[in-house]
Amino acid sequence: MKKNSSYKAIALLIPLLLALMILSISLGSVTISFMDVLKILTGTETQNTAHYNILYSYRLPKTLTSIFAGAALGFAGLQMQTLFRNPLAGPFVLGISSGASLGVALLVLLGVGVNGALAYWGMAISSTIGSLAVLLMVVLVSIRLKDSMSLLLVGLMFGAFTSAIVSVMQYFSTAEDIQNFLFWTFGATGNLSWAELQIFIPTIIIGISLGYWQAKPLNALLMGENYAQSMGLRIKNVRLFLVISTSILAGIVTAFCGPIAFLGLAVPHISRILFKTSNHFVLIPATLLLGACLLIICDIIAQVPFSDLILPINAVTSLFGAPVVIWLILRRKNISKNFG
Amino acid sequence: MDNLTDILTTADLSIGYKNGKSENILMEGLNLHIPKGKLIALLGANGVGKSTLIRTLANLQKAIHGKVFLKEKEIKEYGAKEFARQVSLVLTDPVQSGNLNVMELVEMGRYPFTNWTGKLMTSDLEKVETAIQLCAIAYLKDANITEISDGQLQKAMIARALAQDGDLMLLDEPTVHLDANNRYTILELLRNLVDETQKSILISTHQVEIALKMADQIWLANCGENIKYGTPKELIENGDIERAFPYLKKLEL
Repeated sequence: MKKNSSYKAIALLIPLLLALMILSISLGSVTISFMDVLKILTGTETQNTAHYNILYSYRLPKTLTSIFAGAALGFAGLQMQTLFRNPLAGPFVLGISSGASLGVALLVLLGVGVNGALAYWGMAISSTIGSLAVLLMVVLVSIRLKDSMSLLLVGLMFGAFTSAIVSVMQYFSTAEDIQNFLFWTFGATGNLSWAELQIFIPTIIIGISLGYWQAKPLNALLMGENYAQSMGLRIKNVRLFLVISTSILAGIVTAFCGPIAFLGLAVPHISRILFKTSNHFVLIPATLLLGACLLIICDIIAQVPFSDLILPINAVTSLFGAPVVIWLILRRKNISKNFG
Repeated sequence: MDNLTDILTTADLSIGYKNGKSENILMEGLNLHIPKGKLIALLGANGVGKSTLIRTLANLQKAIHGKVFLKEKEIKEYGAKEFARQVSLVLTDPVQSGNLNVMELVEMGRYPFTNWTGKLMTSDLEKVETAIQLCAIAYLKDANITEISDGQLQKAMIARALAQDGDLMLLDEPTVHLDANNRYTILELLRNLVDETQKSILISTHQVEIALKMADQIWLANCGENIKYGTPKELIENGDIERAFPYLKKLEL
């Protein structure tokens, strides 16, 4: 099973993640040197209060957001790809992010607003409900269809349908509300305060634990649902757990950071290619760590180091991500055969 | 009829598909027995309901009417894992998972026995090893399942079902897509497995000649008739086989 050697390779990702974390914390419109970062983090020097403030109230929360959001999206994509046995599945493709957008749009555009003290809770809940609703519909359809191509089309239709509702709402909304919503769709990892992280991080940990618990059923699902059932897997329960886990992960990330494209689709493929396995006990930690690393890298690119410019994170993940996925597919020639 | 030696029995079983209120019944009034340690071949034309029967016996599909008993307990009363420990399956569903090798595939058979981490104990590894030896695929252990031939993959799938170590194996057209030699080899392998492990095996197949040679019993399904059962000899002598497969006569060289 080559499991142990895979774990060693995965362990190499941890120092990479730490290095990227430090890099991401030191870079920005104000450059804080590596040594200073270490000193502030370990609490030995606090004279430079400006640096201390930038680090603690802005960059550290941002980096933590990236780590957890990246891990969540990568894992959510892995679960969807295995459940639907479709290499193109992911939170974004199946309309889950569109569902989340609809939830947030209903909240923001219908004038409930994002200004109240409960705004982040409201956004988190409405976006989770939105994503859960769409994903449940996708699963209901998947029970009837059993055909992954049709399912994919249905997911795209759900996406188109929800986008249409959002457009209608935008048409009747005030400019200010539309602007608020538009900023949300750009994606951002830097908007979370420590208070919000206290919701964000535990929710993601719950979502990850739920999914991790299904690692063995995920392995059985590689054989297809009939075989999985014949090996004693209770397909309905497993499907439900995977749906809930994915909605929590995709929903919470979309709520707080906006719809971040591509990561959920690409990270599982990159993990399979790097670790040459379909064993989910290896793939899950791999997607978690790779997802975190990749989102930090995109985040570093998005803040355009040594400048005051900040690009929308959603644009960066797609601009750099889509070519990477195309390259991976060309390299492996037949991704659906090698998938899973 | 000694119930104690029957692994699986059916009582007035009707199979088919329900679509809303309309029922499409493929076979009805089935009273079948699968005795311990026998190889049974289910023969019949395309569309007669062979796969549906196997899916129903395997608890993947609900019976329209009647009951299926596995060791005197109705199959729908079994827990999923409990059932999987008794009955294993080889289906015609394609298995395409590129990063899986033959060893990992066979290890999947131990799924109903391992805990949530899927860790294989020494006894599990022994069963996997035995299954691999019995199917003579040790040389394929590290090969990726997308890189081996259809015949080799089918042997690996049989080894996986064997590793699941139930008393009953159900195989839906295990020889489909295989060349003539491999069709023979697979059925010969199943024959040997029955003799060596005393498991019961039910296969559906279109390989009439080989099945008549290898099987202990034949279930002959014809459209619009009840299933006929008997030993190959009985069914040949009373002319049922010839009536169902007239081509056999014409081919006789």
